Amino acid sequence: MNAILHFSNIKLLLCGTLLLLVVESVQAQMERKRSLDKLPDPELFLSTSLVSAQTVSIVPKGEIQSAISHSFGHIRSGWGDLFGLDNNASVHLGLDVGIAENLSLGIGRTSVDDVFDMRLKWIPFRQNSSNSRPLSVGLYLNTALETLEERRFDYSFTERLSYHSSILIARQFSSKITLQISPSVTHFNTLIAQNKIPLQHTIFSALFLGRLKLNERNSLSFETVPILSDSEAIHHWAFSYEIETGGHVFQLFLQSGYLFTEQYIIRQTVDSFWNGDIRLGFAIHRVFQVKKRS
Amino acid sequence: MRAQKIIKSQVKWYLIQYIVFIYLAIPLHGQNYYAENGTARFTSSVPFYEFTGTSNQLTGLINITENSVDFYLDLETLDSGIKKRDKDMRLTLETKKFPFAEFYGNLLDQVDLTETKPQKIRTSGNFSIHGISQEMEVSGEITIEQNILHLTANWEIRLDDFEIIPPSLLIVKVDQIQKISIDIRLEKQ
Repeated sequence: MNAILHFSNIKLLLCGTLLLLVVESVQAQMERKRSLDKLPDPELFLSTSLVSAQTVSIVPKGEIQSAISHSFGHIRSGWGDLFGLDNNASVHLGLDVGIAENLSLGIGRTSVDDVFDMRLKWIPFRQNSSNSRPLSVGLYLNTALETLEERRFDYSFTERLSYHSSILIARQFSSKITLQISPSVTHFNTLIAQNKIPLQHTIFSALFLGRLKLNERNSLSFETVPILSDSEAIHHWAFSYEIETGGHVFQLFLQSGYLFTEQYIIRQTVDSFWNGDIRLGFAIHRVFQVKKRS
Repeated sequence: MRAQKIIKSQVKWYLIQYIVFIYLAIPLHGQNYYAENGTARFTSSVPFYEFTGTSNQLTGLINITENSVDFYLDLETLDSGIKKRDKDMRLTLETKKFPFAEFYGNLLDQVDLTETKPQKIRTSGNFSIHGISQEMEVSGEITIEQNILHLTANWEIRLDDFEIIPPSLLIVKVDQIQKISIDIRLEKQ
């Protein structure tokens, strides 16, 4: 009897010890806890500009973005011009720096009319994941200087300037769709009567932008510029397919206006997308780190 | 009969004491060193260029008595200095689905807590990332500074071992070799 008691006790002892060791070894691995307690804010657009129009996306502080945009000739020119690829219509080079979390400065140059532009973008309100801020709202200012030598007239520096300002208002309505409206005022100090464009120094317009997110790295987007102060003006339209990889965003687009700076798109678009005046173009945006984040 | 009952109840009492003693004794003898602000670096290469994702939120626990090591990192805290690249890194590592990189294993060498000079140590365990776990041996260096155990270690993994498809840009591809380094100062608990 004692032997049985002794044997069952040893079994109990061994089982108990084993159980404790198992429990202890399980406890030795820590519980995994997430370090970030909130979701990242939604990414409304893949890039800081679609084809020509600025989005509410901004170059983050400490980063610099270079962009090359290229537009070809009319697709309808057919095989003779390889559907416009033989004709280099316009090239825009741009450089933007994030100088604060919600403020960026940039410079650029468009090959047509040798236009240099300086721009400032300020996005104080950004839509967040908790929806306590349902919209992204910001301000965009652009000043352009036309440096092409004009043989007919002797322009002063001021006469060569043009301005564009927009209020950028955007919202991501679902994880897939983003829309933006940018009420804008554009002003040219000097105008030359050409291409039947009316001589209107100040133009009121509203840029509409949209993005359909196909997946995390691919999007379809559009932009158009209805001109409010001139009902007969031809509106610029562009549709873009965007691919993001690493620090790059590639855009392949079809567009009517091809001058890449907002005021020139608004003032000097003479091609009608819906009448078939369509050009192929592409852009490459590349982001670099200039300063380590604190 | 009465004597048997006394013996039986005494045995049970000793058993309870033994179990309580063991349960209390294990944690008492365990020397835990813990931190949750260690640095982890993941370095990737593309031709002519290298970039590093850094996080200062590496959590680690070393139990000297049990010779166990346990480290984990929330991969969404990795910062490469470019937000678009951070996003790309999160997509590549599928951090929504697999948020942690972790290493759990044992010290193969005894740590001398009285030695103040750096000590080479080897660990063996499972490194997990992207939902795949691989057994590996990692070497590092430990320096004892009062109640601090300062650990540094470097090792490499192959991305395809963990079914991670590296991002590519046309013909330029991120190298399969990923360098990992950790630097953590664990405090005695």
